[in-house]
Amino acid sequence: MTRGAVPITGLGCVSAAGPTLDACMASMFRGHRAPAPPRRFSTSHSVRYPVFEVPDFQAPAAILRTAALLLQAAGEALADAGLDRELLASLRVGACIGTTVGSAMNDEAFCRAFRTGADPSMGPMDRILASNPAAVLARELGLTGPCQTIVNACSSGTDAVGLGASWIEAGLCDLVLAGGADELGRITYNGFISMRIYAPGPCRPFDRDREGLNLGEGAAVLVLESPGLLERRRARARAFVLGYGSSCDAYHPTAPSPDGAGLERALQEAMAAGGIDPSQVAFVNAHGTSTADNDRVEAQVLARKLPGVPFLSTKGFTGHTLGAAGAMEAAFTVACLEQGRIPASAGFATQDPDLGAAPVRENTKTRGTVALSQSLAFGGNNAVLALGLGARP
Amino acid sequence: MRIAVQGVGVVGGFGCGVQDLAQALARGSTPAGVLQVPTGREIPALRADPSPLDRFVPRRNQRRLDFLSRMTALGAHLALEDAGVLAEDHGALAVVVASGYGATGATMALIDSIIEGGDACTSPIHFAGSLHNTPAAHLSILLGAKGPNLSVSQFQLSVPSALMAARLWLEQGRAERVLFGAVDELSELIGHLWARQGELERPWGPGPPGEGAAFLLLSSREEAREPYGILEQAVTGQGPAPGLAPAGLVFLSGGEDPAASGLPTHRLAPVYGHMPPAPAFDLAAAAILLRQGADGPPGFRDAQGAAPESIACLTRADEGFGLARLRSCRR
Repeated sequence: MTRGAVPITGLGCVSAAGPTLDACMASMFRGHRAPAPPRRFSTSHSVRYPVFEVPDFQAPAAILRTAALLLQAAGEALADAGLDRELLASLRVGACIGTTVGSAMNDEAFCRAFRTGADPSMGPMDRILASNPAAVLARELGLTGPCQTIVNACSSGTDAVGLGASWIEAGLCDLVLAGGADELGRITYNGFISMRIYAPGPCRPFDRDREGLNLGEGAAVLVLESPGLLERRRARARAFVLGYGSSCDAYHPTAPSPDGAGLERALQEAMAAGGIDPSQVAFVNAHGTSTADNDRVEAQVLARKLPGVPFLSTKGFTGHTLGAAGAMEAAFTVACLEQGRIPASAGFATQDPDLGAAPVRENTKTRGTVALSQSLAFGGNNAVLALGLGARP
Repeated sequence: MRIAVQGVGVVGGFGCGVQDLAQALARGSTPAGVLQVPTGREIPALRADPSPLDRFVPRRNQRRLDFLSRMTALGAHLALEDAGVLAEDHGALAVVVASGYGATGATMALIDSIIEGGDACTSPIHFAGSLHNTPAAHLSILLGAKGPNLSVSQFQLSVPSALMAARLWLEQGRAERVLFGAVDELSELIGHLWARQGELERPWGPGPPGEGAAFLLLSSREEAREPYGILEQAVTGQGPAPGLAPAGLVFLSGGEDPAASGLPTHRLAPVYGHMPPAPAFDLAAAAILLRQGADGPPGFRDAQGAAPESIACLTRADEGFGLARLRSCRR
């Protein structure tokens, strides 16, 4: 089913690769990446597993770092779209945000105190309750439309953009701030290490010798606008959400289905929604976590369904930012479409003969105006966005 | 598009299934049990028992399911059974699950593993179980549900937000059936917060804290069975709710809203307790009461003894609202 294209009029992103989308892109095309042991927390692991931390960022005490990162990305996206609070107040604006830790009741210090029989201050819990990402956006910007925090694990950001676009299509909103946000934390860090899918060194998505992921943190926001508002504002669409597809493997709580059938269904739905033929796809921004299972399934699906289409993983530059990843990668995808090129897939050096496909090794010019950005998640969720280039700057 | 409620599945402090909830609604309240919180205090609470899940899922297949996922699975299976479609293939089924606080029990167990054994002994099982979408994941595996799958966590507004998505998926043709539900547990942590803070749930009106799962099978296709009712509206946003008229009755969760002023409102927290999934229980209650022949709480029928034609379920929390409206299928 072909649906209407939803204009994207503003983008914002903050990650370890840079404090703005432009800075992230410049850093990635320079091939710069700087994974390092965590600075904001300590652990007792014998290996200093690297992370991609956003440097020089301080969150206000009243809200979680996740929410603060989100607000920074939203500010950039709104400025990019030429929107101010006065205009927002006159519109039906929704907030659709993906996260994994942004609404989790998991303050470790509180729980430690609680466990030892103490009666800790409610401050940390109050902060969590005040930091639900979509609600923070709505509160801080005075939004009046629908508000949704999606917790589909690592596909949350992609789902948020796709579902936000569906709100525009359905006429529920004039404008939607869609995106994702997540912060680094000890519990998540320990959790992924415990699952033995965390690399002791910099991650190497799709590489034969990949050892697992590195966590990162960040946020991205896409301003999705109704065609009617776009016309009234005489604004420029940087890009379009052409299609969105999602599915569930229904296979395993934490491992993707080995046959990739779920990802294929999501891919097909997104492409069908946008009326996209495989020959139109300029590139794919893959999930590419650098885990054995994810990369194998994803590469095999791409080899089957989109043979010869260049693909990359940007997680070698940002780490795996969980609920933020899909939104960040959608923003990167748009920026790459605009520039007509994609950066080298950082960390990839040696082709894995089991995968049947390999990402780009160097900065690569692309042809075409359509690209895909895809996410896989714990829980078996698969989500794919089809994005199309808007008017060139 | 006509979106019908085809099945209802509930488990909570009142019991398990449509009949138990209908009886509790007729009584108007459920006797509270006691929740012992780790600080030694006891608070009244409505606890749920998911053990009837054994009827649907062999115990060996429940080994990886924590309490939250077991409640989820039970509510969902009951809804499918109630709709008469449990034995069908669910490959195209979409799943939408709302949870205010997520897997707080598994999260505490995860943190316990770190406290007791150090960072290197973090439990991978509890880590995987601590994710908000774990209940939806287990449910999809149990049912073989491979359609779109969504978990939403918006604290008190989780249910209206998730319901809006479920309705949209049906309207946009992404699915013909959506298994929609909400779940939350009274874990040690949530119990402690209740005892400590008292107003975690902003308990406007009477009623203890509760836990449970409420699921509805929503369908856009012509089904064999007569539906409970038609979902006419499912909206959410910030600011005051839109007008509620012509609702014959309003079920209210959370704070007051000007839109409900002057309308006959009921708060059903004494039946199943205060909790983020309460609006989903309100919807389940509305569906049951709208079905021809069902009896309701005092004030349910008008002066002539007629049952209402529609029920609005209004949720009011923080700056936001949720509004769902069910219409009777009675002719």
